Amino acid sequence: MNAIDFEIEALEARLEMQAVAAAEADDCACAGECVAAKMFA
Amino acid sequence: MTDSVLLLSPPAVPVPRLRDEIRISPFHDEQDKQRYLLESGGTCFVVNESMRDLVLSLQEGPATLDDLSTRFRRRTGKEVSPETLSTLLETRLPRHLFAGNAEPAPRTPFTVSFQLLRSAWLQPLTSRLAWLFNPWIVVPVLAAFVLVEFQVLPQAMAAMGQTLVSYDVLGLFFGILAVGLIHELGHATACARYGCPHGGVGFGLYLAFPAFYADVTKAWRLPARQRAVVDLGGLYFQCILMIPLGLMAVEHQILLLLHVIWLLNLMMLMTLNPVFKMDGYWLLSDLSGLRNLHQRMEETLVGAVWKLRGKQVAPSMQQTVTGARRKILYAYTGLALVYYLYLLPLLFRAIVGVVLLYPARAYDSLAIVGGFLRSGETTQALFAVGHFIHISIWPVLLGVFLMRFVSKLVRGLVARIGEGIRCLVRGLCTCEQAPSNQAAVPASQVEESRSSSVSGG
Repeated sequence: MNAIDFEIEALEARLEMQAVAAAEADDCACAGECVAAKMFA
Repeated sequence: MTDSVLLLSPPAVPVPRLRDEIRISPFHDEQDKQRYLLESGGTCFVVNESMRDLVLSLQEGPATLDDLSTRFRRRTGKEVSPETLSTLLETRLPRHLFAGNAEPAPRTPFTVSFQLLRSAWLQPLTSRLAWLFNPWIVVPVLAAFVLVEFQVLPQAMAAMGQTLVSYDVLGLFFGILAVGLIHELGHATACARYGCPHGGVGFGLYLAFPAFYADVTKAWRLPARQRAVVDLGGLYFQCILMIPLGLMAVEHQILLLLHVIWLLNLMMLMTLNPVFKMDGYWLLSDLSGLRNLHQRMEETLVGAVWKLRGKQVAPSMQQTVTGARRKILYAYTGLALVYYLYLLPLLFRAIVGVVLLYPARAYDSLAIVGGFLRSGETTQALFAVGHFIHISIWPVLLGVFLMRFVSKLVRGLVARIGEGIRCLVRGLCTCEQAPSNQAAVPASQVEESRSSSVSGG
């Protein structure tokens, strides 16, 4: 007898967010480094 | 399962009634198998054809399990026994899909969040701005943005060396708030462009970062490419904003404006980071077809740990991802892991910095406030209070993030220890046995992801 698949998967709520950059000064060398430094400045 | 319906004793017990507002439509994920989107209030699910047929059969309002079995057979030509249907209703369909059960509060990635602008307030605006997403408008706008950016960005970066005065700092904060709201308006407007309803716009604390958000959950109804436009809608609106701001800044050399433009660029870059759940995350998810990307990443990591321990892992959700998508998933998981490891020392440095420097800075700042108050200089005292708030924002955010992280860690450890103690007490130490599919997936995800294979007849 063939098995029947019953699948259900909850989807994430789509909350499109943008973090607020609060840092001001900038002395980092490259963009990637800068973003990371700002995150934990 | 905590959210299952009451156990049914087939065939005499009546079948629970589904909620009236359940909506089923094709789900566009460009996979071989046809999937369907099932919406119930603010919650969305992806279901396969059999589950869709079961839900449609339930929507017909069968009185008993026998009746449900007959309706399912009539619809699909497949035989499923009332006993199997009873098990399915009990264990697979979330309780809140049935009438009389409250819908759970939506799970958000925020520590705290609140809505700023309701959907009903935004709709008149978004429907009027939808023309901005016409390709004949988009192309010249983006070309103008590139030209302006080329002119203004070097000047904005140079201006960051100059310090703003107190009033300007206040203007900078309001400028950032306005930019954030316009970004979220862009997401909502992109939804309106495709005739898809959108939710409200709000503000929350994500990890240690304050963040604006737009609720565009209904965008799951759209094809992947249109979802990608929704993902980029926020950045597009910021590009539009950049054109007049950039021209003004270049023309008049306004320091505050140059600072706002630099931060605007930083925010635009940060939001494309796919590791955190910002625009880049959704863009990658939609373009690759890997939905629930963070969840799949966690499963990949858990599966890898089990394999390293020599345990056999039954197929879980991420293992149903095949071909190029699996490669993307593995690459994403690896890169995300490297990125987390990169951030770890920065986080440590930030914590040390706050612990060592903040108490003295806060003490000095409060002493200045006290000095101004004693000498009756109220305006200066207010500025000093503003400075104190300014230097306290980051330590507070970091503190909240760490408290939440430690709390989750402790709860996880307590659960594991409790499980171990229960094993010892019962003398059934099954903890070291190879995990089953469900055991390999964190409990929080079992609630969300369910797939069953049942024998017909």
